[in-house]
Amino acid sequence: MRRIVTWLLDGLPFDPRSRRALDETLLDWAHEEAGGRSVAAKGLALCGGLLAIVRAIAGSALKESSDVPIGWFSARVVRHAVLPTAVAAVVLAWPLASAFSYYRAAQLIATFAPTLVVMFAPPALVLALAWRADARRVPAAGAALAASCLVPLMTVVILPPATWAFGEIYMRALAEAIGVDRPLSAEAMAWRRLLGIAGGPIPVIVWLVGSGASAGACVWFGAALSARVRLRSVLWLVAVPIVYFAMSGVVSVLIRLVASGPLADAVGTWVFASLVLALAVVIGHRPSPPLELEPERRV
Amino acid sequence: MAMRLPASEHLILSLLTRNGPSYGLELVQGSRGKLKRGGIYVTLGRMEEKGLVTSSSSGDDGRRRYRPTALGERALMAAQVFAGRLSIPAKSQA
Repeated sequence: MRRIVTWLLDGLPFDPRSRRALDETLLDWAHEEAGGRSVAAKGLALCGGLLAIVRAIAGSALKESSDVPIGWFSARVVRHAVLPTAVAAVVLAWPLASAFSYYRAAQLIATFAPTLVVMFAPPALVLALAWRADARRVPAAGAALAASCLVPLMTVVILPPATWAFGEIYMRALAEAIGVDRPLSAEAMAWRRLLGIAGGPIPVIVWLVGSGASAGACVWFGAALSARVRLRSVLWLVAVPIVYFAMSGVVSVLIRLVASGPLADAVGTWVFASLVLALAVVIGHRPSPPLELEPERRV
Repeated sequence: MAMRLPASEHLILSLLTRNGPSYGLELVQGSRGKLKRGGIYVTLGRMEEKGLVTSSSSGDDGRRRYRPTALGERALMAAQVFAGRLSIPAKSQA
């Protein structure tokens, strides 16, 4: 077990200080494991070692989060999320404008845009770290912690009102299109109703925490990728979101083959997060090319 | 330079001053549950950056042994003097 954990941690990018804290914790674990004579003592060393590693990762991530260049990182995430949102909005504009009036189409796109931004956040996190980020080393654990807290928070704040507004405007547009006198109205936004649609509080919590885990995993993946592969072509801006949606689609289909319901979908976010983290570890074990610093620009 | 000594750093310096150079695990065991495994190395790393402790690798297993620096000892002494001046005797409160 200790060897598996060591292998996993070796594949993930950490700040040198965090790496040292983790290495020392692993050495303590090995020391306790070697000292345990009975099966019970070895079991106790295993539990203690795992708990210590979780604490070391949490402590290191918390410490690293203060070193994350927030301005640089958030600007890149926003850029990589807004760009595909704009493209998707343009693609959606055509059928909406042909079905409804231009005004309603614009309203529908404006209210659907926040949902698109949330949808594109995970690939944006990967691209923010991996695409043309030469010589910029972001503390991955700190950035992963920040992303895994901020993405669910953003989802909770943005998605309910945006979904409700979209539904409301869609109903009105539909009523206008079919010539109904009395305007249709989406039901008033109520947390209880939204929770009912989502299958209750437990799937919502599992899904939210899972989306945070996915965001964190995407940051790890982006950081691991940036240290080994140079993503310079513009094609990557298209390829990464496509791969992301294909992967999450495949995971969703596989989950639905085994189980169905909101909880199964929520568990899917965890499966996806594990998959992305595993990919990050595998990439992290590949040899890193020498760092090529960009030439200093002369003023 | 003014330096604030958090409770965990105060405890680590007290233990190191009292028990001499120690491994992280020994500090955890000596703290009677106040310091936690895993988290202690993040604190020790921070203290090393501040210059309060120093460490050296000893033995075959690669584990590091920590000891307080002169600055660490002075910071602990100052914190103890400061705490002593501010403490109110329990009897006078009654």
